[in-house]
Amino acid sequence: MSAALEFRGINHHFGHRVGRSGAMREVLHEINLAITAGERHTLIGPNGAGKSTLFNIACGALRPNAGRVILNGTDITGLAPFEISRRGLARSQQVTSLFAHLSVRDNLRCAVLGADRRRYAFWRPLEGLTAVRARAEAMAEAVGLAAELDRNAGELPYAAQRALEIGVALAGDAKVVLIDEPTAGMNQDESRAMVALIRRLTEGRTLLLVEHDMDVVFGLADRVSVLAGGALIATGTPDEIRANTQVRDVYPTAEDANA
Amino acid sequence: MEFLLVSLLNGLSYSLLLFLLSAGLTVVFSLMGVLNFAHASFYMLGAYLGFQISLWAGFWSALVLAPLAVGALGMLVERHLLRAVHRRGQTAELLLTFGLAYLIAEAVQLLWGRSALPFHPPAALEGPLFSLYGSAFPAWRAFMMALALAMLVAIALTLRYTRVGLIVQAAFTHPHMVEALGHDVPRIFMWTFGAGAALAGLAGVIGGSAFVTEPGMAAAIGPIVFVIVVIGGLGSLPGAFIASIAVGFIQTFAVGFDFAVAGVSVAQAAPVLPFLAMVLVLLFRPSGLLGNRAD
Repeated sequence: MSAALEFRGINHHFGHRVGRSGAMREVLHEINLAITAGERHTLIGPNGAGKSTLFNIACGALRPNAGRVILNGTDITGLAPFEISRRGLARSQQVTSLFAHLSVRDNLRCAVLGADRRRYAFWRPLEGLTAVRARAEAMAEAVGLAAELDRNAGELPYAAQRALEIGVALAGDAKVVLIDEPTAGMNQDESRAMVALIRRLTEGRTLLLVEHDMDVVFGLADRVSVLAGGALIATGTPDEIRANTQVRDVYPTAEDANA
Repeated sequence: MEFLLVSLLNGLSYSLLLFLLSAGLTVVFSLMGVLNFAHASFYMLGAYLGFQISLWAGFWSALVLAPLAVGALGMLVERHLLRAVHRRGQTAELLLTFGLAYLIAEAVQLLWGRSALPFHPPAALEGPLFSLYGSAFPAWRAFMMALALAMLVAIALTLRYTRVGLIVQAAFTHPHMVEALGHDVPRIFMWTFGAGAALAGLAGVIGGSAFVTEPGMAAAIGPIVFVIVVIGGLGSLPGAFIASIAVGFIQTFAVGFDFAVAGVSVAQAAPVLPFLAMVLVLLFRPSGLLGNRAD
């Protein structure tokens, strides 16, 4: 099987010096990881391990100091975020990043328009674009928000906002999807509903997920990668990761999970 | 009564001119986080280019072409100057526009000299639209109001009902998210900055011909526009509208009053009033009348 998303020799450090020694604090060190097309891959690791940095590099928000990012066989390193998005990579953010003052429909419409070929014919009235509207409403239905289309995103309950974020990320029909901590701050029921939603909506796509909740990780992932101290220390099936002693040393909760 | 009515209309036309200027400044700030110090310089450039083009091709061509030229210059500034320093943060951008303001002021003096230019509205509109008991309201002022209102309605409709309006509104709060969705945000920034500059240029053609076209005009109106944007709340278009009306009326009416407070006549104090209002707003309501940003 071919890789949908591949990191090759990624090195990254932020440009400020730490301490008197003047040593650069390395955030990512020699990351080599290939996400197979169609798989659900989860990235775990302690806080500060570099997970979000790797996401930022994948979607173009950060440019790595060294290494390449390959999307469906094409080198996307150094492209602008919108160019990467147009090549079929979507990302949902860790912090709430909805357009709070826009309606649910308009949040989704904005996402659909981003993946639309006919961009920026600014004189086109929005309401005239019936196909865009229909796609936005279909996605609202898919994330369980069909009844809330006209409500401002900022007024939705927290769990509904996170669901809408998933919808916004996927409304452009990207084939590779990065989702950052979708169940953070949720209770068990909400978390379970979110996992079901993600599983349903990422059917037939490639998913790279950052998650802390081990039930979620082992319930959803085909493969798991462990990032610690900026380095990739293990990649394997959930069972292999659970049995890996090196992983237990840096990430003790991994063995507690009962999948 | 008739004095009051004509003063009201004068105040309103001046307010609308101020809003043409503050609208561009505040939209650019909302979207890009750039407080454009050179905004009033685009206004001045609009007046000077308007004058020059009117010599060659007549006033009505100037009214169309000068704003377009200023808008194109604005796009170049965004594309080749602002974008280059964007990564270094807002201070770098502010300083860049600050330098640009001086550059434009010097360039204008080199090209057109230091004295005021004989730039006037077309003769057909210089007469009074109507007179009430001897107080005349110039037709040009009425045209100015109509044009400013038309532009502002066009902006509002564009923001509210078009696809680019939706994307710009979304980018007001999360430009990075909008870009992650596949929208070419750098290009939107360039066009928005150009549109703001074009609006300032249009205000320049109107204001320059109605009042005066001289090298000090940017320095005269620039601070007032900043005051309006601060009072209204950085980034708030409705706030900028209310503040434009308020400041326009304060400046128009205070000049007409001839009573004194503590030995200072209201007419003398008029130029200070907007700045006083800004200081009070900053002290007691830092986010402005309708501002929603804490920073």
